[in-house]
This record gives sequence, C-alpha cells and structure tokens, in this order.
Amino acid sequence: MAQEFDLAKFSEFKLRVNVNTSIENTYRAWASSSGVTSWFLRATYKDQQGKLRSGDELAQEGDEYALAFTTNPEMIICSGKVLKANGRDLFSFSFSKGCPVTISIYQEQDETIIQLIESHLPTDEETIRKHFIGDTKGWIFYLTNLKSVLEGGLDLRNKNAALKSVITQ
Amino acid sequence: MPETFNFPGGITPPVYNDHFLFAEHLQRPYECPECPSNIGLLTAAGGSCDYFVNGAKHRLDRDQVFFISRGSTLAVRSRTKDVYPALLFFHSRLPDLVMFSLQYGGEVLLEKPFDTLPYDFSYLERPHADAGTFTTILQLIDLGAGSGSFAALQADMAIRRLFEDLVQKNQEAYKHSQNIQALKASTRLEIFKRISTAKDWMEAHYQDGLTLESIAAIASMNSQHFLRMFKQVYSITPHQYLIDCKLKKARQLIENNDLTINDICQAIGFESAFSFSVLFKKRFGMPPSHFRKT
Repeated sequence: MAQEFDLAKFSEFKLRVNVNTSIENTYRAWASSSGVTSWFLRATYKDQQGKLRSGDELAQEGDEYALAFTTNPEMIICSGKVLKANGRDLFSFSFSKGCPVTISIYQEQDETIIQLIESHLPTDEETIRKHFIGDTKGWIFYLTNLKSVLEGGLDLRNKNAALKSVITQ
Repeated sequence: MPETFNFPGGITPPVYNDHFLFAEHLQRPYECPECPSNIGLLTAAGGSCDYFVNGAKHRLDRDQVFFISRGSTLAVRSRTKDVYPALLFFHSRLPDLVMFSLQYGGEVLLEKPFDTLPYDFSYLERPHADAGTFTTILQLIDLGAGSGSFAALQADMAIRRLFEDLVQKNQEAYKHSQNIQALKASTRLEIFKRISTAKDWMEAHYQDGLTLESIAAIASMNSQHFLRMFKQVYSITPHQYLIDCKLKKARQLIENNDLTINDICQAIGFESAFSFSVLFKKRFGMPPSHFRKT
C-alpha cells in the first residue's frame, strides 16, 4: 500500500555535529563576526541603531547581519536578523525565505554538540527543492568546516576565486 | 495586477512560479516562434542572438542586455551555430512582493511609485550596454549548473538585487520621460526610448569624435529635433552630457591607475590639457593633480 507523502516533514531539518571545544568557544563562533568569518562567510553584525559591531563583540537579539563571500566581499549573499541570543548556548537567526535557523549548544557524552534546526520552511515543491535539500547540503559542509576550524584550525573553504561550482564554496 | 494595466490585444503573459533561467549553447540554427512574455532579461552568453520583441528585431552581443516587459511578445531566432541565448524571467509574484515590501516593510526602493511600477518596464524595453547585469546572468548560469553550497540562496539574492536595480532604473527612466512635452503617452515613450538609446551610445563611444549628426542618427531623428528632445529629457545638451561622461571617466582613471594627467587627458579625447583641467575643477571641485593626491 503506498504511503502518503507527508509534506510537513519537509518544513524543518535538524543537523548535529560534535566538536572538541568548549560551549563558550562554539557560541562565539556563531555570535561574533570574527567567529563566523573564520568558518562560514564574511559576516557583519549591526546593532539596532545600525552601528557595526566589532569583530569579537557578541551579537544581540534584534541585530542585523549580512554575509558575503571572502573572495567577493561586495556581493552580499544573505542578510537577516538575529532572532535569539542568550549569550551562552542558544543563537537563532533568520535565513532562507526569512525562516529561522536555531543553534543550540550542549554537552552529550562528554562532547560539545552543535545542533542546527532550520524550521518553518514552506512545503511547496520549489522550496523543498531549493531550500530543504539545498540548505541541508550547504549546512553539512559548513558545519564540518566549523568542526575542523574549532578543533584543528584547518579551513576547508575554497580560496580560489577563479574556481566555481565546488561544495567548498 | 493593477486595474489600470491592461494588455493590448488581450495577451496573457505566462505565469512563473519561480525564477526561470533558460540558457543553451546552440549547435545549429534555432527558431522559437512568437509568444507572450513576462518580465525578464534577454542576453547572449556567447555569439550574437536575434530577439524579436513586439515584432522588432534586436541583435544582442556580449555585455548587452534587453529588458522585456510583461505582456510583450517575444520570438528567438538564430541562423548560425555557436550561439548561446540566455533568458531570465522573474518569478511572476516578485513585483507584488516588492510592492508589498515597499508598503509594509519599511524599505525605500521607490520615491513615489506610480500605479504600474514595478509591473511595466516599457521605458527600459530596449538593448542596454550593461556589463554588470550581463556578468550576473553568467554567474547565475554557473550557479544553476553547479554544486556550490547554498547555490539557490545565492541565486535568489542575486536575482532579487537585479530586479530591484531594474525597478530603480525604470523609475528614473519614467521620471525623465515625463519631461517630454508630448500629448500622447505612446509618443512620449517612443521619443524617450530613442533619446535614451542615443545617450547610452554616447557613453559607449565618448572617445570617438562624435558629432551631433552622428548621435542624432542613432536616435533616428534630425539633429535639431534630437537636440531639443535631449535637452527636454535630461535638462542638459548632448554636448554637456558628453563632457560629463569624459570627466567621469577621467576621474575613474585618476583613481585607479598611474597614468599621467596628460595621458589621461588624451585617452578620454580632450585636446587641451588646460581646458580639461578647468572643466575637471569645475565639476569635481579641484584640479586633477590635486584630486590624485587626495
């Protein structure tokens, strides 16, 4: 008997990665522009008055962020708002289609776990194809790179601006 | 759709549930018959491609882009091999989303939108020399064919930026066109398109020895009529506009390389370094040599 295709299952996805570092270091990797830039994309945070936060300053709820490639900083790829930031282990921001990405950091089996949930995605075919599947692929690489940078310092991102269409970008 | 925006001849444009980019490297002659179009950008990623918009032929080469408006008809024809047409059509709801964000999201994209913006791009519907937009379309082709992370997100952002740029250009074009003293909107539109085409041509050929007659020929007007219309639209004469183009180019050259001021003066087509310096100072507030030092 054919099972019904449950579209609701495509409204969110969860990814988890273990990292050998403290919760504090991990939080900083998400909530500071210098942190995000070290493993993801070139990031800037602005407070609610529009003032740019310095590299190590932690973003607060209500801040705006912008992300650009390090090889082409003029081209903003994504921008949005910080939805939650408790300064310790919970950080959430708007991402694809304005939908929230929530980062929770906690201990499990004596290791630090980064849990990423992208949620409230529309379940039309276009969004499933582009964002549920596409964003999952993107986050898997970048969470892997986050682990690499936090643990060993090796940044796996492509540095060659002339090279296109690689998963490392 | 706004009630005032009616399609002539009852043409119903296609509905796109997503942005669509059609791009193919044609290995043999190709023809696509005339059909209604939605808002989009046409270009040739390789070779030269003939697009027929509302029956009029436009041959596009590298770095040229054609903005097509919703409700226009489009046919594509290529009689040779190695042609690479690329057509980007925006999500049909994008104009509504932009209008929504203008009204409710606090964005200031347009000063005073008239009721058909951003649905009607008639004022821009012609070929444009636009290397930036052309490059973005090439990047979108790469993104669509590739495996980069967050490719869809990047593409959506790039397309949204393209569309917002288009909306602003359309508003500027509309504002300028309203300076034309013509009774009929269709006459105003036609005159504006010719004048703006000639203006773009001047910008691309400022280094050549342009005459009023040669520029007017691009606009398919006699020189006196062209002079009068250009001044109505842009509030400056073609000569003044040409001088401004040259001075802006000189400024770019001073900022971006080490050529001597004399070399720059010659490169942009000024015969006299003295008159160049005087005009530069009048335009930018300081002579070119001081500008370089700052």
